[in-house]
Amino acid sequence: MSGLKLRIKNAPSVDKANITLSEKEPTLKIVSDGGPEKLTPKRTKKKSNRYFYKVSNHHELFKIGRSFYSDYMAGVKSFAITSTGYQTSQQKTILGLASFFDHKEDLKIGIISDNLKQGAFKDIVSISKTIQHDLFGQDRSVDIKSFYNHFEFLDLNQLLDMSNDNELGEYENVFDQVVDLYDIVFWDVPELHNVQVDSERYFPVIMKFESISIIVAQSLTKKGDVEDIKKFFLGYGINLKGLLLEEKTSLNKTDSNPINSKPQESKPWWKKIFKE
Amino acid sequence: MKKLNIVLHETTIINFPFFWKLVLRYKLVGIIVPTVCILFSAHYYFDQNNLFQRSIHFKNVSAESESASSAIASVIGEKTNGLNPTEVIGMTKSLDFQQEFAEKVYSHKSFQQLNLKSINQKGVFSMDVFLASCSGERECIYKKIRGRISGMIKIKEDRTVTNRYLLEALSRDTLTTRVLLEEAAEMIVGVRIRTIRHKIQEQIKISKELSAEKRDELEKVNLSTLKENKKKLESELNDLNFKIQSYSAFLSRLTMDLDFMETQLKETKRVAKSGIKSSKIITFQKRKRLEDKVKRLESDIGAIKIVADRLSEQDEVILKQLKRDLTNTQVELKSMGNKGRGVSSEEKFLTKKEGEESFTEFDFKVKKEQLVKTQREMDSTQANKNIVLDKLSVLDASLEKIKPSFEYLKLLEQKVIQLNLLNSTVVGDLVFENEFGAEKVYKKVSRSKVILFSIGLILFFLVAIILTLYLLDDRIYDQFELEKSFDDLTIIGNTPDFD
Repeated sequence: MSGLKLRIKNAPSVDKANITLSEKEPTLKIVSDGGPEKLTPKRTKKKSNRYFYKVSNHHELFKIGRSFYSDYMAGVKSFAITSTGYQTSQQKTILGLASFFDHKEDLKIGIISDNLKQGAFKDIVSISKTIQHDLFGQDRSVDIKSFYNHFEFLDLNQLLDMSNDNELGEYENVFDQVVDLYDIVFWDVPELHNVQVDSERYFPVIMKFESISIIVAQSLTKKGDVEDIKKFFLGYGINLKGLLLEEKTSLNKTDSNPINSKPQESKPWWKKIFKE
Repeated sequence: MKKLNIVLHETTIINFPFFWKLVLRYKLVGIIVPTVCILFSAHYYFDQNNLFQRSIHFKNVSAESESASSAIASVIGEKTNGLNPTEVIGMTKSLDFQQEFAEKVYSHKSFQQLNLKSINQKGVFSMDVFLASCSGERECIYKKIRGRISGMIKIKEDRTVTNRYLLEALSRDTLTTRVLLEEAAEMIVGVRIRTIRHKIQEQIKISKELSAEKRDELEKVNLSTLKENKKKLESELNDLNFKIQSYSAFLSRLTMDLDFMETQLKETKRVAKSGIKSSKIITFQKRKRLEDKVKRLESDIGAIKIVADRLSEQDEVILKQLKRDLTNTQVELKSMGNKGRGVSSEEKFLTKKEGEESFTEFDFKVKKEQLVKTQREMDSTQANKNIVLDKLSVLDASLEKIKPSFEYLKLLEQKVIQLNLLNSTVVGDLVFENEFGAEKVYKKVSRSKVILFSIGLILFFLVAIILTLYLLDDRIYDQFELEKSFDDLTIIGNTPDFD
């Protein structure tokens, strides 16, 4: 059984949500027995289980991990994680699940996000090795950030650009190829608002989701927002796996939003009742 | 609806554990609402005036034998109507009572020192300010005082003792309470005596009026004349009755005599007509001879027996012969039986009646005429009696008709005398105790009530505000709520958290 040890120092804790996610220096350190590893673009054997991951609530991770793992065993390989704007929670959940799968089996795990340089991914991505992978010839390659062969990160925006490149004309095929590269893929779903604004662009991505889970932030997420997400993805016929509860109540939605995403309109409650 | 289902519980109506969770969730409300309610209640309690209450017990003895009035009334056969509890309790509600009470309080020597401020009003009371608007006008002053003090006294029923009541006075200071209680107690006794006396006087008045009315009625009828007439008729009736009795006796005797004489006359005529047969006369004569012979033989035998000592044999033969003859004669006489025996009386009777026949017939005729005459007179007397009886019955009917009025008049006169006696001896039927109860000082709404009210207020506002906030709050706070809100979705678990 392989293992990974992640020690995140000064990581953007959910309790300290007002820390700017993109501007901090990466502080992640890899603890290993030997010297620096040599990364190869080809799939190499993972390090032994001297690595481990450090999660404070192991039992919860194992609980949700088992649920996802049973789906995986049932043939599902593309898992999307979304929320009502809590990107950091999404990223932490994906990291946790990826670590679980990595711990559980020797799988090639892909994580696709449009926020690789922010949030929980920031530190890991910054120390990951970039590998160029040709999808449609040498001109059409994507940057894959490989984290010591445990899991690899792909930039969703890059893939979306490629998918929407009229010259290339591959649209859905881009994501088909990406999903085929991995045994299991985790999608860090952009905020619903962004997806709805540019739904044509995001359509091929959405169609690759085999299962979607929604993170509900305790004391912050509104039922109506969850209903909106639920309705949206059910409209595309995507299997709604379930809900994940983020218990840290001090999450600040604005801080966890990606910088480039537009802040979600928060209408006063009376405007929601008496729709204009 | 789902939210309401979460808050409501099928057994306890409100899901209290969840409600407590909501209180903790909306901590600010959970702190502010009780604090505000407690402060409000405390302010309400301490802002109330101190109230001074005293009471005195009294007993309604009108329904009991110990009442002097009722005792006298029962002696003279008069019934007094007692007070029922409602009348006693409502006594102070009467406007007349309140007016008189106001006058009594106004005339009290300590009136100027009294505090007649309403128990709910704040501030200091000044009698001069209170009565200033009346400008010394008595009616206005009484009206103002009446308006204030009417609510300060109250009569309550003692639930533990029958016919016992409690007179309570409540005001803003001790002096006012005591004065009001004293004056009210005195007033109640006085009013009650006046009420009883008034009732009796009214009864006397009505009885006298009725009595006069009945007397007039009887005078119109002239009762004494009727009575005299009745006496005369009764006397006349007695005479007639006696007369009829006499006639009746005489008539019956006459009838008997007439019957006798008729029979006598009839038999005399029959005997005179029939006569006596010759064989009966011969038999009679034979019998007579035998009887004479027996007498003669017995005489001879007797004479011989007198000289028996010197009888010779010849004499004895003669004696025996005589005895033998006597026996034979007696046998012969005996054999005749009764034959020939009544002929001599018949003969005598015939002889006698032949002479009397004409006299008997005359007497019979006389008696018969006398009978007819007597009968006629008796019938006439009977007719007179019937006339008198008719008159008497008419008179009796008239007297019977006026008899109730007469009896009623007698009773009314009797009643007037009784009521006059009762009126002069009337006493109150409400007996007050000598000592007042201890003074109680309290606030209108007690501390325990305010605390209870405060708790109720807190609970009400807490439930109302927190439920409103919860129903308007769309956020999800915990897994329980998440499960209830999205019961069609699986709750996978909590997101992992890195150190």
